[in-house]
Amino acid sequence: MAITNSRWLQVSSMVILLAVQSLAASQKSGSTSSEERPWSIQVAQVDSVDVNLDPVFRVAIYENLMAELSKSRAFKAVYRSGDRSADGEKDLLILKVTVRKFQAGSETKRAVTTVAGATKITADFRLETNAGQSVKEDVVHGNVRFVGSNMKATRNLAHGVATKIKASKLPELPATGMALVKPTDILH
Amino acid sequence: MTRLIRNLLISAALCLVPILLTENALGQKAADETQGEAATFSVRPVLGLQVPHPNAPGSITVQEGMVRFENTKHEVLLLSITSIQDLLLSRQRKQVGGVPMTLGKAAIPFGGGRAVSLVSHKTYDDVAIVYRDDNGAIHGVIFELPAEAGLQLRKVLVSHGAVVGPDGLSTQATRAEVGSGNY
Repeated sequence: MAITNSRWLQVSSMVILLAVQSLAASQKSGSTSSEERPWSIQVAQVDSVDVNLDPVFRVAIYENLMAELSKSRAFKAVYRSGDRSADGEKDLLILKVTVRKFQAGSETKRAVTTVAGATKITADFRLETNAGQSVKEDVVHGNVRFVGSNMKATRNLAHGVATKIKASKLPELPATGMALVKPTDILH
Repeated sequence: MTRLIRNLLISAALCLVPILLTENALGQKAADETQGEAATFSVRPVLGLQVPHPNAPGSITVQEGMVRFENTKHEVLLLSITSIQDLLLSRQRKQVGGVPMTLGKAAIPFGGGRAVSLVSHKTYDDVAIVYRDDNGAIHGVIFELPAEAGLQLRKVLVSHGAVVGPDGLSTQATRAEVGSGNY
């Protein structure tokens, strides 16, 4: 009986040990240390070209971008437009979002008809280095088709931008002592 | 058949009760805002508020060169009027009642919930206050106010010296642009 008990003790302690090890391993793989996130990002003011975008939506896209990028944990720091703390940052990427299409929907139409009244936003985003070199460019859509307020489209758009940036492979940092320069700077 | 119609009417009436209650409450708030000397506005934060409970409703008071927001959790945000870069307005029509109302509408048979949706909406003013913090960073806070209260808040801020874009109101129908900058 005593032997059985000690065996059970051994087996259970091994199971616990394995569980703790796997948990630690999963936490290590899930979290991203600051060394693995070399770049910081600054979100520029949202622009719109030939689009009668609701001005409050511009602010909403900007604020949602800040929230989604912070949540994504893909960057060392997320700076706002005009933030003087970002001035001394060498490894800084700048995110520029330009809204290309905007269709103002109606929550009432959506609730009554289900199929009509969708709010749609289409935007281009460009991620570039301090020196102006493009790192990533893409088009993102933010829509609300069925349930939710029109403002939810801005959150969906920001989430799409953050997801695409997180999925993209960011460039390696330049070696110490070297700086990224614009091709135009070399020519002149 | 008569029983079915009666049941349909009863369920529709039950769904309308919260709408009427909500509209009365909001109307009372709007009336409070327009009365008296103190420039206080009941608001519901929508986005961008950096306090521990960012969704808790509260009130905005404009006095002595400051905009003071205090929510029901007694969290306070103080903004200097000089730090305000722009104030943007937008008129939105939203469904009222939230999730309980949506579930109630879904429970009404023969698509009766859709008919209720036709009348269960209310117009709000969304107000975005764009300001710079001490570090120069641009922030935007969006509040939801009862209809017309957004324009009043704008007038009060301008009378206290805030520099904002041209007067106007962006609505879903006209989408006339207000404000000068891009954010």
